[in-house]
Amino acid sequence: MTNDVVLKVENLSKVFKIYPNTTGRIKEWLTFGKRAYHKNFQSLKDVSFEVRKGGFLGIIGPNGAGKSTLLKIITGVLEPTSGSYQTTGKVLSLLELSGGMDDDLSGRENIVRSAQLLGFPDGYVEEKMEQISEFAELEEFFDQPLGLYSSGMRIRLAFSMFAFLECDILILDEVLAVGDIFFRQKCYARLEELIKQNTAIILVTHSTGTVSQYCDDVIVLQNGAVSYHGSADLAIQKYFEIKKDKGIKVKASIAYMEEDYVSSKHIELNLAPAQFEWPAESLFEESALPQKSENDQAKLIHLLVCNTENNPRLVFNQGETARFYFVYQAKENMGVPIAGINLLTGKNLFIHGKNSLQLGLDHPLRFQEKEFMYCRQLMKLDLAPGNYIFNLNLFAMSPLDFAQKEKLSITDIREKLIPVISIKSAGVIQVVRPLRNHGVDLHGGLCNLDGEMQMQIVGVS
Amino acid sequence: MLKNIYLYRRYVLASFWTDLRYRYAGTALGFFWVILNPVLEVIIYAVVFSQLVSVRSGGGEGISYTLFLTSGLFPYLAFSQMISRGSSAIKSNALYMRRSLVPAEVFVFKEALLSGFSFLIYLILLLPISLIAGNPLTWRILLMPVSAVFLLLLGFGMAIPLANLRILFPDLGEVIPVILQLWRWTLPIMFSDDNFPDWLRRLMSLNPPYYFIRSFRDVLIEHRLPSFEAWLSIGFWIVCFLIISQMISRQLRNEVKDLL
Repeated sequence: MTNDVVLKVENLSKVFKIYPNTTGRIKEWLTFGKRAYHKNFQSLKDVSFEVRKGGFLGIIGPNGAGKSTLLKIITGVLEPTSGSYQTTGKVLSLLELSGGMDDDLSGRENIVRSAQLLGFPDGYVEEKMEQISEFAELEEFFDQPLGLYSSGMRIRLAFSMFAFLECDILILDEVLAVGDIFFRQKCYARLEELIKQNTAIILVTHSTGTVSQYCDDVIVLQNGAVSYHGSADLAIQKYFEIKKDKGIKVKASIAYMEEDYVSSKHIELNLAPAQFEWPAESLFEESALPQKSENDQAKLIHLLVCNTENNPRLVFNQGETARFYFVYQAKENMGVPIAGINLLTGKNLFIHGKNSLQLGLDHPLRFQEKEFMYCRQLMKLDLAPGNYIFNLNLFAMSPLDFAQKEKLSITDIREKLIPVISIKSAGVIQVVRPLRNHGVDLHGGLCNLDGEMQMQIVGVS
Repeated sequence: MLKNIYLYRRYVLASFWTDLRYRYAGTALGFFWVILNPVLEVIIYAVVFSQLVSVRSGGGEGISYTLFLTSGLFPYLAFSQMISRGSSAIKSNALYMRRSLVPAEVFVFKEALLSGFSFLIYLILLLPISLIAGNPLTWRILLMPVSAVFLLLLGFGMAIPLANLRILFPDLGEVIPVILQLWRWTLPIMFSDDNFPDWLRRLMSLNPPYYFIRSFRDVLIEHRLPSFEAWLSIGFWIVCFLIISQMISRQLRNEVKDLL
């Protein structure tokens, strides 16, 4: 073990015995284990990894992937069935703490008690009490019995205490998902301080945003095995794939239900547009189409979101440009086709929408039955981190109206746009803060508006 | 096992105090509740056995029967509290056990301390009863706390395997109270076995708590030290059950944790 590796996990496996009933266990004992009356449930399969000093490891995976089991083993609560793990220094686990709290005791007393349980010497935590109390911001509740606390306040207390106990490995389990955003933000700031002090942190979470922002190393667990280990970007991609496979809906995006998606029969398109770049046909095969992607006028047959390298992506850094590739097929003849994309937040706030008319495209003058229309729309995602839902819209306009569009008023044009198909919640993209951006936020609010600023101090004389 | 308890001694003490504080100080009548139940039980037995049913219990009449009864019943009540609460200690602390490294015996030991506290109150209660019954107190009563510690050690040794097994076999939770109810009739608590045939006495003395319970009566009423045989039996059972509990908890530790 090299000096800066604080946790080394090797081929860790955990099998739980599941007995259908208690008599099964008695029978097994009576036969001295010669006959098995239990089923084995493998919770962890051959998991290996290392964490170094000051490292920030993220563990993500769907529910039941074995994340908690893994943490419990590292913490020492459970024994592995096979494999080994070595830790250097003190391991603290926030998983452990909220369990050891007593409702009758005040926050302050609980901290003293927990520090005792965790093996800190007498008086150690008392010295830090001021800092802890200040960090927790519980005010008068700090000296009230824990029974009066809300769940958020408990987490506050627990985290505040952990943030000031010295340790070499800190294990956090989804705790930061609760609590208000100000406290959360403070927690992350504190975690970064801890990392600078060479504490290694292991975080189990469902928040892909957190992972991409903080973790330099991410493990994706699936059915107890490591299905990916590496950079946050690809881990998140992998995680979404797993979720998609499992048909689990992506949590934060209410409007985007996996169930609504069918991997509808892929239609091979031999032709590709000559006028602009188009990703390889094979990439489209992978991507699912929204369920309601067809009406009696038109049909969406392809949809793909890529980054600027034309790699399929659903997660983008702030300010990155997303490329939407989509193909419509007309089911009847229509006039000038006008296509566009609307972007909405998870709470259904319409933040941006642009169509080909607004972008001033050279439009084809007709879109006829069975013809395909290829579209490629670029969008610079100068947005706050979060999940965004996009809708695809197709309108048609008579060539006559289209020709005199300059003369028509805005309301007139709106009236002349005949809706062909509108695909709500065609997909979700996630915008995350660029990796390891320690400085100031790029902007406040939802959108990053282009602008500049001057400043000068002018003396009185 | 004992090392673990020593390691967590501060936690055990602290949570012992909090439990005492909140279990009793939080209620209006406080410590009154600790003695209410045993006192009621004593009154019932005393009335039934020495007044209504005139069986020859061998323990005397009226107040002297009350003394005879309490000197056996109080230790048994403390012992049975130890077993019943101790055997459910893992289950009731599952929330803590699931997330922390605190070993199971620590929770059982805390119950031993709490039972010890009840025991102490019982022993103090014995003194006025003894005086009222006209039974002189000798220096030998100083042995009662020692016997109490021994009895609790026995209960502790029995509670640990039970607490572990209870997780694997939930039925034990129902069985244990029944056994505790029946068990007291196999011990000379409500009656004296002095006039029993020899073979029956021998048989009864094989019951682990037999000499433990007897020792209280020996020092309080009979004014004599327990026999050598009694000490031997006491020592034997304590060592025996501590070894069993050590073995069982080591054997089952992982399985129990997996099930919590």
